[in-house]
Amino acid sequence: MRLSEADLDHLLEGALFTSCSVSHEWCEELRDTALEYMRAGAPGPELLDISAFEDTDLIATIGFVNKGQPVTELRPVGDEFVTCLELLAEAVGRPVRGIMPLAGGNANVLLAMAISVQTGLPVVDADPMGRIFPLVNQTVFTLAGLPVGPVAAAGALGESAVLQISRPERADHVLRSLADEFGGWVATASYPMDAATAATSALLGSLSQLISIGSLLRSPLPSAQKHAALRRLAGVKQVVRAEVAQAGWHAHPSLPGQVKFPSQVILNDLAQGRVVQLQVENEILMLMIDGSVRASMPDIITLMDPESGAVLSLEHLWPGNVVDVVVLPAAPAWYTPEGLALAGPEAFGLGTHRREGRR
Amino acid sequence: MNRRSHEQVDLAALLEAPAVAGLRAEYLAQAATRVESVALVSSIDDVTTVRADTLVVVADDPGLGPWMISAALRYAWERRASGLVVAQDRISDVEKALAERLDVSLLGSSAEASKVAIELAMRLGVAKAGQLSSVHQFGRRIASARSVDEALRIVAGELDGASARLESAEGLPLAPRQGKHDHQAPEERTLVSVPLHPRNADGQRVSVEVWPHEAPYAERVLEATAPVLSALVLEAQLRAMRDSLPALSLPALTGGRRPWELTAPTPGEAKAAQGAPGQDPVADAHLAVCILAKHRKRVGAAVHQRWLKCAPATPLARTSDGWIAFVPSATPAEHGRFARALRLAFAEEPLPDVSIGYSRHRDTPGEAASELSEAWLAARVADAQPLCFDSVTAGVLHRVLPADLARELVTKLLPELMADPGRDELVESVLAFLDSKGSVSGAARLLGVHRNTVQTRVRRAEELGVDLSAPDSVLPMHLLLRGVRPEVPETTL
Amino acid sequence: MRIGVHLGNERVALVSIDDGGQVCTELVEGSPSDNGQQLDLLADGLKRLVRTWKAGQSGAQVRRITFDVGTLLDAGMAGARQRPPAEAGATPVLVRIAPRPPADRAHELRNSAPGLQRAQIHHLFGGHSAVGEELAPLDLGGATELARRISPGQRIVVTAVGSLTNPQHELAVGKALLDGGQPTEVSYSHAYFSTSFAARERTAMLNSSLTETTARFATELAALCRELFPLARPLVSTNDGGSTSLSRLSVSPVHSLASSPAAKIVGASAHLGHREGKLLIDDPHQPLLGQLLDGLPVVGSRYSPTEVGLIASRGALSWSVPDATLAQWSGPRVHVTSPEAVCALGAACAPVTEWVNTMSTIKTHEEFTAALRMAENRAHARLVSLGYAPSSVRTAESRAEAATFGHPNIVAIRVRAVVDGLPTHLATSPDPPTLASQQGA
Repeated sequence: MRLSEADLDHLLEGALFTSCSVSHEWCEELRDTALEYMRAGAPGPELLDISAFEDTDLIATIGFVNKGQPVTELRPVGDEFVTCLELLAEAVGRPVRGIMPLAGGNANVLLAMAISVQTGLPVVDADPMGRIFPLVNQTVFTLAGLPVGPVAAAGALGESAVLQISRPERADHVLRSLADEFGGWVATASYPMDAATAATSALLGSLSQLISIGSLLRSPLPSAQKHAALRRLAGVKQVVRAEVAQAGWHAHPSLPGQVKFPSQVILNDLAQGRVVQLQVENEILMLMIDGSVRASMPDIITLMDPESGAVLSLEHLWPGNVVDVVVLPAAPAWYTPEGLALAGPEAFGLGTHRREGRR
Repeated sequence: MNRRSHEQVDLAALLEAPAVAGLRAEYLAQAATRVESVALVSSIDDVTTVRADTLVVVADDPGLGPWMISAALRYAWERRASGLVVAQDRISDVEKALAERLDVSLLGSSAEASKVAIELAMRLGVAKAGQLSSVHQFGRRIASARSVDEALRIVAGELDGASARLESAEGLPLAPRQGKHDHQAPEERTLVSVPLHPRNADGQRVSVEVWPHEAPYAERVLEATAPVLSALVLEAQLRAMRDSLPALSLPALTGGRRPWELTAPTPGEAKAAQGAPGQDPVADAHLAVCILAKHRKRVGAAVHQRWLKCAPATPLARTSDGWIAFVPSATPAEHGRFARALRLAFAEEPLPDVSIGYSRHRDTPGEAASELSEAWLAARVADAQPLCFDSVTAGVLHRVLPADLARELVTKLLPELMADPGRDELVESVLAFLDSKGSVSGAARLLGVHRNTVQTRVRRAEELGVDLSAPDSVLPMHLLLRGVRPEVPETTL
Repeated sequence: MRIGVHLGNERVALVSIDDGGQVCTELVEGSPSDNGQQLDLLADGLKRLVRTWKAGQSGAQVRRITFDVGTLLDAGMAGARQRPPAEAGATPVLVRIAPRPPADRAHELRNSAPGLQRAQIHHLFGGHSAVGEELAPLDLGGATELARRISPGQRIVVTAVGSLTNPQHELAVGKALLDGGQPTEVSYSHAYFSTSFAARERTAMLNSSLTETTARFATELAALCRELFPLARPLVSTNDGGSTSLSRLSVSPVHSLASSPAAKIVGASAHLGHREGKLLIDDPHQPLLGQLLDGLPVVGSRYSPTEVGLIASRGALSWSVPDATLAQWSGPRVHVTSPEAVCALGAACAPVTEWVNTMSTIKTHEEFTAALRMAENRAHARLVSLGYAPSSVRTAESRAEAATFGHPNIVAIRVRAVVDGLPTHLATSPDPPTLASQQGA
């Protein structure tokens, strides 16, 4: 299906919802890029179900990998992903027929749309995370044992590289270093695979789900009805409404091999006086109420405005502001033992705390 | 009395002056917190395995994320730990707020965790030793007790007036309780009981009812008391025995005759006895008491204790089936006083299978043997209450035909009578008739009704089966009906 | 004695607060069509105010006079938007410094601000990384070349990648442009704090379009002040509900564009004595909900004026109030009968404010604390250098804001220092016009 401008707006809202992040600007600029092409006459991005591809069509996963400079500061000139896809096709020996975003949330979703409009390549209605994770190897492809490479990478300075790597965790290390060297981020095309493989291993339908969520969020329904509808649609649970008491971003010393400690935001549940703690590191990693863990990675924890039900970013966590903390479950694959080992609390240095009331 | 010695070690007490170096109480729980032990844990998850009333010290680990202190507080709350000690620089406002919300004590330490844990453990040991020393001091106090009652009073005082008592192996009280018995929440109290002597064949115990948290200390107190009580009890018994030795030798008294063969001495014998020194061991005016016990050994101590109440100066002499004693009693008033004291001492907590009888007041001395005979007979007839010989006939009736047996017999033998609606009046009338030796008018006078009424009723009773025709059946019938209506005033036969 | 002046579209409001907290209000009617007339009205009103005091007792010294020009600026901008786009010079020339130019027009991202569609955009090589290292050597030759090509009398906005951490390239290009050409003005994006290239550029553009008018206006306001109150400090109120030297109005008017709603919040709060939490300002034309923290309006890091994207200026947070909320609101509320007077009161109460926003690279908690301390000292020092007593300066806010994605050791430090000195209780004079009345707490 061809996405319209309205669909892109819905998709943006959904992508922001499943990935509570620092600011919305990056996603908006990528959407604006897509719009620029569309307003100049290009057809909208094409979103296709995996079944629309031939079994042997080559599907590539594209995404930004960051280290340092935000993409809103050092902006893409427009050839980075095109270069990646060409290099990848060359390395694999076949042209790329479809693209998938690396993450099912935040900027990479809009990126896929912008690239689709720019290159004409269709976007597969699927992604390998079902939400946003910080590392390239935190994908269901890794759980399925699929190789990450070859990986094509290109930076804003015009430099590029092709990595012959098969272990996904190695790919993350190397790409992070490249990002640093390439100016602060690197465009990547990775996990090349046949459509048939993608059909069995990727999280299908995730992008159209985001459009549905976004459409619901942007509807004029009152907040309570939105919550109810979101619960039916995606299992979204409103966990607590609380007022921000303290929002401190701290840098802590990190030991070699240790994840740095996330920052902590303290809120007060107005109704019951409970102490609410959010552990934040680019995303919200964990929610504790009165010292007991109520949700943690890989659960998706995000913020909504209590009155309007609009999606909030981490910038809205200023003292005195009242927010609704909502939780929705990630894809089931993340709750298997292998999934939890890769992207569960221990992987984020959050320990092995029991979670109350969770599966 | 220092209240604290009754309770376990309190967290606040543990932290008291001198303050533990480098330890700061960021939040102290509202309720008093007991500390049983100190635990040093290196991983937050270990907090989930501590026992209740443990003070948890968390070893500082750079790998501890700030949220882990919050999780540790939560675990500490769930496990009912005494409190949590963490590195001072890990405590910020949120941890304090959470500690307050969960009401879990939170302490910050600037010293190294293992040092703090050792210091706290030492303090806990010292506090517990302090408790031991107060038991030691109590032990000195109890050793000065001169009687069982005084000893029990001291115990009650040490345990804040808790009810303390001495009892036999079966739980029979051997001495009155000391301290107040709190009726308000008896089920919440714990009974702490300690045998007087590990080798005490009698199995006597000293017991006290205290609040559950006082139980361990109470046990130590009782353990210190037991030997003293044991000694006091034995001492009392020994004294009684020693005192009784020269007083009475039954064969000497009875001349070898069995008690019921004893009769009043002839004037000649009495005169002879009067003059001869050493002949009549009981010179002054007295009364005899006989105590019969089915299980003499078991109730011996209890009997002695009660006896000491009413006649402390008079020793009890042991016989094969009980005890006897001769109590000085010069006047009827003295006799009456003693009778009341006896009744009071033994009525308070009656002993099973023990019956007591005592002789009538005699004006003349020197009739010990027949007094003893009276006392013995009265004891044979008595039930729960001590019985004087002059009321023995009343008791006989009860002995001969106990009330419950009478009722059963009457129900079986005279069903129509028992079923009759006017039964009570009928029985009353028959009894009055019999009591008046068969005189209707006499019965009518006794009951205060017309003689025709009596006549009618008696006839009716006869119709219902009461057989008054044969002489042999009169007495049994009288007895049976009396058993059914014992309240009918009696005249002496 | 402080004076607050609100320059509105229909009237000018003037409020004075003496050292005892006594408040006097004056309103001057009129809707001038240009600034010159505005100034006449203003002068008129000020003179009347002076007469009122002299009629009263106070020969009190006027120490500060704060102008709230937000409404005027906003109206001016709205007017500018309605002018035909063909007017040359309406949009500044944009010079973008980045390691590479965009590959196509779509990637020029011209739809992030009005006027960008038509703007001249020139690209130069250069730019810095997040830690301030050069990504590409600066094309100075190209800058000089550009200077010759740009027609004289233009306003130019220079934005470079990474200029927040290292503004060298922007400054060098600016110098080249000034030396080699005759622009009216060169604005630098690094004057505005945002990790978004587009936001900084947009802000600089907006500011540049405002300075045309405000430069002269500011000078004339200053002259009027000197004439009437020679010993008073002339100040202008800012978007965050505070105030700064009037001279800044000619340099960075963008920070006063939304000062009126902020001043309204401050004025309502001062009138009610409400220092903490939400406050409903029941203005019949435009009800507003504001939020206060320790007596100051809560401020976001950016705000969004109508039809412009987010700009990098700290604006007091406010929300419009739907009718339903208005009816149900049970919290503190102020009924406003004269919105302009409330704004003027807010201007009078607005504390002089200095912000320090920096990106800092830190590795340990100690370094972080030190960086915060340094920023606080800088903010204090600036206020003191403006002539305020050190004892009256305090740090109102001092924290780290969300850091850039992917780099754990770079944090954004945000410090706000203010000059106190307002009497704690204000007594409104009983004379009309009443500026506001309270309702329940």
